[in-house]
Amino acid sequence: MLNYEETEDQKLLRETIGALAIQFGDEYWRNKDTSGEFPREYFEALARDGWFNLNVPQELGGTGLGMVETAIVINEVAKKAGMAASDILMAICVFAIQTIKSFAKGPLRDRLLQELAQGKHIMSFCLTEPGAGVNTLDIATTATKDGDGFIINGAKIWITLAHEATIMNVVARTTPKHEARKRTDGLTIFLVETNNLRQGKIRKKRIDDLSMRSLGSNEVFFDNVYVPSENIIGEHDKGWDILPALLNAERISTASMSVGLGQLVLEKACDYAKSRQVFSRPIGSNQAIQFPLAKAKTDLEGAWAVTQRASWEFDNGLDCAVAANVAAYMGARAAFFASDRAIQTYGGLGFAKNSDIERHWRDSRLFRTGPVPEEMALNFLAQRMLGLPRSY
Amino acid sequence: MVEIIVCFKHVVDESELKVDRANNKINFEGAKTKISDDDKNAIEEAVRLKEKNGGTVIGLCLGKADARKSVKEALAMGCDKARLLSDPAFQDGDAIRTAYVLSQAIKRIGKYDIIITATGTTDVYSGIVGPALAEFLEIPQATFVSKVALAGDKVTLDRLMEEGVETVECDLPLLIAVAREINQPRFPTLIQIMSAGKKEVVEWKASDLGIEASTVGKNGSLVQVTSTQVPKSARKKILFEGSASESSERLADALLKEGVVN
Repeated sequence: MLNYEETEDQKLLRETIGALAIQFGDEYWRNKDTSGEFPREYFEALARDGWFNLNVPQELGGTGLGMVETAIVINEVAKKAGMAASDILMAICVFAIQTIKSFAKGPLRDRLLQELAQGKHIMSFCLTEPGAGVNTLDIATTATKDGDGFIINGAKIWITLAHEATIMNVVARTTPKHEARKRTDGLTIFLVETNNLRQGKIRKKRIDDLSMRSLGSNEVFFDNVYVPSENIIGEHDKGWDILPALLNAERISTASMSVGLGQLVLEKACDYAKSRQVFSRPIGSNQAIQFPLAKAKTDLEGAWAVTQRASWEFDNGLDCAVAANVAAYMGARAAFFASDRAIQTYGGLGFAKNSDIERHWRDSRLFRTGPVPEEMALNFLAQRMLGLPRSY
Repeated sequence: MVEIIVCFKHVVDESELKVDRANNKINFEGAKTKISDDDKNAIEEAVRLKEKNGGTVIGLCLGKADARKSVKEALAMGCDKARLLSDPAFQDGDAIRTAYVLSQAIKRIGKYDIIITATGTTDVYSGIVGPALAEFLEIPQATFVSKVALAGDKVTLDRLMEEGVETVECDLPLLIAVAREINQPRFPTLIQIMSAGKKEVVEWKASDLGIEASTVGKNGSLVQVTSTQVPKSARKKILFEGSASESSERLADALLKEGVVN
């Protein structure tokens, strides 16, 4: 049975997180964006009200909700407070909790999940590298066996929140490419507790970049960093096998954020179009303004419908890769189009920092390029949905 | 230990309402709903009293079936259980009929020490339901309450007057209509939201309360709302001519005169 109506619980989740999010208004996020300072007050409010319990298993004190609810919460936060506010939820609930609960083992798993739920950690996902780009199999960071653990060496780039991270999921090569039994073997994911290094050093260099400046992106260098074997996420040499689950959850999250941000800027643009008078009538009465805004709305509606499907497939253990990639692709484009049209609707005012439209426009550009460029999503969809030859 | 019943209303979110200027009407279509803002203060105070003194809080809401969302929110805020009075016969009643239905439900609940309401609700703000409810139950009442201190069978209350605060003492049971200044309602935590669904919610219809349907709701009300209109407001346009310094002085004078700046 097909049902797109949100349940009472889901509506209440939406309303409550929305009410919390609007406590941190435009000025708060504008200042954080300008200073590049981590929004700690907001992070602590999320932790205080238990939002990081969202998908922590019930046996560990969480609410055990799934990707459908996670997507709803992320979407509502983006809709009320913008991209950076919702990205924090993705960092904790998806990169950290979803990954750890699915693939970490033993006491480490339970301890970290409980600490994450209490807001004691910030997580970074360390995958991309300067020399590998989207070709993950080419990553050069290595982890070599050393006694009961591994030594990690290498460099990562575009790592969100690395400068604040207390835990990192690091993808490293544990078996050289030419020695791997299968093309996709040889990668391992390690959980690194940055405040508890027995050996080695992690250096971070902040990148002065375009989007989500309050969270910040980094270059990260691992110099002889020791990690115990029990910190392996999934299986040794089989990191590639669990990446799809991780990345599908990420795609659903970025789609939810994009749609939320698109809704936010579209609402602002429509309000402005109704009130701004030129030639003695609201500019919103002109089809040149109306049509693009209506198109933005249809794009966002479509993207959200696919996001709901992808998150439902995720929770039901179905292969959600196609829907997740379609959602991420559609969402990113819809958000950027809506933001761009919001600037056009605002005219010169859209370029002013205190309109906040320019910040949203910068943020909305991100997911067309990262974490996966839209061309790579299309490559994947061409192969999976259309049966065309693999191009990557 | 204190047994508290808190009354709250499921209302249309006034910030979502759109005005149809052409027909001078309020457009309710698609508007979201919520717990009336001041009723959240009532719920918050009930929960704080319970947390401090022990006991239970029962949430009582009169509304349509979609009011279940507000009932769940009240449970998430800390009510222990709830009663939803939902019957087509109850709809569109005036304040007195609403108070009567609430009083019948409270009599069915039976045991209570304190009943808490808001002073008014954000949709109609009649301010009558609380006092009328106390009259139906034949218990004392205190309105515009900004502070509640409970000691044994006595309660000390601060009441907000136009200029100043009146402190009164009263025996239990009583009805308290709180002012919004009394507290800052909490955001429920995620765990509280998800556990709200496990709390007891019982729906009562007119027949469950021994109420004859024709005596309540729109049919039983003495006050009938015949139409709702939006006050007309026209923008005042004044054009100041002359040099920049002259017209800016006149503009400043006009703004001062209108009280826009002082």
